[in-house]
Amino acid sequence: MSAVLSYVEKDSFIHRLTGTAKLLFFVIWSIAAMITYDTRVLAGMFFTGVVFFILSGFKWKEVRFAVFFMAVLMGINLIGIFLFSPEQGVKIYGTRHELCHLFWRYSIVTEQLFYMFNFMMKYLVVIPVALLFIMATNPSEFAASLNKIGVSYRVGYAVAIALRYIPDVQRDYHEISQAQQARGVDLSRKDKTLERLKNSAAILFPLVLSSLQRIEFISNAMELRGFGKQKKRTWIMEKPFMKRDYAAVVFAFVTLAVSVLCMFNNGGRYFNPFL
Amino acid sequence: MLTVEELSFGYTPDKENLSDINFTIYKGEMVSIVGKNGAGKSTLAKLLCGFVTQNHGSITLKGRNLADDTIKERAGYIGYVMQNPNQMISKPMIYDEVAMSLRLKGMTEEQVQEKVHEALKICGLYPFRNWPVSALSYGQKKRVTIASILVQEPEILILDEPTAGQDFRHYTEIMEFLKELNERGITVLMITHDMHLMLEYTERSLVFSEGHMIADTTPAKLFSDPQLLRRASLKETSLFELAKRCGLDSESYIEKFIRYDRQVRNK
Ligand SMILES: Nc1ncnc2c1ncn2[C@@H]1O[C@H](COP(=O)(O)OP(=O)(O)OP(=O)(O)O)[C@@H](O)[C@H]1O
Ligand SMILES: [Mg+2]
Repeated sequence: MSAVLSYVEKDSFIHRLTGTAKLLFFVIWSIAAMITYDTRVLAGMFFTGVVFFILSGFKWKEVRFAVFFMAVLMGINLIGIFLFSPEQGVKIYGTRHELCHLFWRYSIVTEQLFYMFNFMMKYLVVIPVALLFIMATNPSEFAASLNKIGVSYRVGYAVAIALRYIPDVQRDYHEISQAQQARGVDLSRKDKTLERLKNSAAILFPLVLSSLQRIEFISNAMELRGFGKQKKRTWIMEKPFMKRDYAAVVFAFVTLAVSVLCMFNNGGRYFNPFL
Repeated sequence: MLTVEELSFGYTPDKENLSDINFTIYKGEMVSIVGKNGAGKSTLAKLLCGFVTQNHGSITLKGRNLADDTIKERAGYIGYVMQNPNQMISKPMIYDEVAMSLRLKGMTEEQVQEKVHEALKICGLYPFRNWPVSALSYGQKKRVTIASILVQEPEILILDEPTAGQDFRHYTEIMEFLKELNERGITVLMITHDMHLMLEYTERSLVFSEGHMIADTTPAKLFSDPQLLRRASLKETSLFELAKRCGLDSESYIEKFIRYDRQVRNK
C-alpha cells in the first residue's frame, strides 16, 4: 500500500523549481496541448514530457497506479467518442478511407482512427507533466505560489490542504475497506467482479463521512489559530524565482508558441495528412 | 490459544513499526495492551486480523497458522473494534449497521432481528435502534461498532480503546459487559491508555514501546516498576496520586479501593 498521487520528497531539478514556475509551466503546457491536434507537435511534447519524467527520478512503480487509472479514463473517453460520433474524423479531415464495416453506422475509418489517436496523444502529453506537478510540488509551497500569481491565499490554502490530505484519505480508504471486509463484505479476489464493484461503493459512505469530519476539525483548528484575519500573509515555503524558473516558464511559452504557429500554418487546429 | 511468534512488520520497507513480537494468549484471558501513541498497538491488532501482512513471523490460532486466511475468514474468529468508529460505520441507520454482517451471511430477517436487538441491548443502544447513525455522539458511535462486531460472535475480541470518549456510566457498563463476555469464554484483548481500566479489569498486560514489546506482566507488577510505567505512558489514575500523597502503598491501596468500589456499586 503506497500513497498514490501525492507529494514525494526528492531532490531533482524539478523539485528544485519553485512552485510558481511549475504551476505556470503546467498551465501553459496544458493550454498548448489543448489547442492543437497536430500530431507532430503532440509527439514532440510527449517525448519532452517523458524525458522530464525520467530526469525527475520518479520510478514507474510510484506512478503505476495513477497511470493505469488515467488510462482507464482515457479508454472510456475514446470509446465514448467512437460510440457517439464514429465519423467525426471524416468531418474534420474531409476524406473517407474506410478499412472495414462493422455494423449499423459503425465502421473503421482511417480518419477516425487518426483523430482518436491525436485525441489520445493530448492525454499522453498532459499526464506526465500533471503527475510531475502533483508529485514534485510541496503542498505548502504550492499554496504560496497560487497566492503569488494572484489567487487569494484562502483559496490557495484550501487547495494546499486538499492536496495535503490526499494520502490521509487514501489511508482512510484502505482502513475502511479492511473494516468492511472484516464485516463480511468480500472485496478480495475470490468474489465476482460485479459484486466487488457494488461492495466498493459501500466504502464511500464512511469515507465521505470521515472526510467531512476532517474538514470540520481542520476549519475549527484554523479558525482558532486566527486564520484569515489579515489581508496578506507570508509563506515559509516560498522560494525566490531563479534563472531555472524563468527558463522553465520560457520553455513552456515557446512550446505554446510552436503550437499556435502550427495552427496558423495548418489553417486550423488539425494537421491533415490526408490531402 | 493465540500464539504470535517473531512477528515483524513495517508499513514502509525502510522502517519497522513492529519488530520481533512474541506472546501467547490463553483461552478466556482478559489482557490489556498498553503503550504510548505510535507504539504499534493498533498495528498489532491489524496484523492479527489480517488487515496487513507481516514481513516475518507467524500468527497461530489453536495450532493453525492464519497466514492464508482472508480478512473475512479471520473476522469469523477474531473481532476487531477499530479505534475510529467513523471508519467502521457504513450504513446510515444503526439497526442496519449492526445487522450488516448477519445479512451478508444470509441469515433470515427474524434471526437477524433477534441477534441485533440482543447486541443493541447489551451496548445500551436499544432505545436508539431506529435512529440514524449521524445523530449519535462519538461515544455512542463507538458502542455501535462494538455491537456490530459482537453479533459476529468472535472467539477473540480486540478492542482499540473501547472506553475512550465514554462517560463513567457507559465506561462501567461497557467494561462490566466485556467482563461478562469474558466470563462466558470469549478472550478479550484491550488496547488502552487507561490505568484504571487495566488495573480493575485485566489480569495481564502487554507493554509496547516503539515497536517492541517491552514487558508481559501483571498490572500490579507494572505498577511497582515506575520506569516501565513511564515507558508505557499510561494515564495515571487519580488513586495512584492520592495514595502517593498520603504515603500509602499505592498497589494495595488501589486494589482495596477497586474491590470496595465494586462491592458498593453491586449493591
Ligand atoms: N497506514 C499507515 N501507513 C504508514 N505508517 C503507519 C500507518 N499506520 C500507522 N503507521 C505508523 O506506525 C506506527 C504505529 O502506529 P499505531 O497506529 O500502531 O500506533 P498505536 O500504538 O495504535 O498508537 P495510538 O495510541 O495513537 O493509537 C506509527 O509510527 C505510525 O506513524
Ligand atoms: Mg492506535
